[in-house]
Amino acid sequence: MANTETTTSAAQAGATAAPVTAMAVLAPALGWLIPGAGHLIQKRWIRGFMLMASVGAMFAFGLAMDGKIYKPNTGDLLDILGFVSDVGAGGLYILGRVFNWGSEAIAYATADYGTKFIAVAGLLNIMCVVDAYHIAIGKKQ
Amino acid sequence: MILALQLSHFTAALTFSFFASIVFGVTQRNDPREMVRYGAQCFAWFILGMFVAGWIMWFLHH
Repeated sequence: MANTETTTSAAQAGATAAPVTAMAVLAPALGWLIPGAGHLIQKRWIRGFMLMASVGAMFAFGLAMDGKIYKPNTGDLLDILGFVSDVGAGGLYILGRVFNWGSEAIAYATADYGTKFIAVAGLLNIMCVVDAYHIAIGKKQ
Repeated sequence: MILALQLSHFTAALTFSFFASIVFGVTQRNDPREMVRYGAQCFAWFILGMFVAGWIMWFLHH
């Protein structure tokens, strides 16, 4: 009896759990690396290009405004959170670090806005990654 | 960077709202029509919030 109940609940859990497909792994990973690519690989062309343009533009505006790209750090809590946000931008963050984009210090108000733009670009990209995953598992069209 | 883009606080907030609203609209709704509607709604709330916050700060300052 107990065995039957265990089997039934396991079967129910299996039925409700999202299927782990290659796309469910690939789409979020690619979406993180290249903003919007998680949607493009699933043939959501317009959404993909819109997300790519939006996240890319936010990041580019941030750099143009002399924003700061945070490095890994164990200092101030806001600096740690800044790094976590920036990493969300994936490939853009990697490019920024490789080519040493952004300013070292936030010297004036516009640079502070720019820093926020870069951080929010990363956070928005995390939303895009989650959305690409939901499409991949069939939770969203 | 030698020549940084100099946006006013208002223009920066407007630009921020525009791009953030697009991402919100696309990621938070299923139907394309709903996406546009929700994106526009988010943009309107951003702008409204900006003016309300601006006035609150003005009253706090004076």
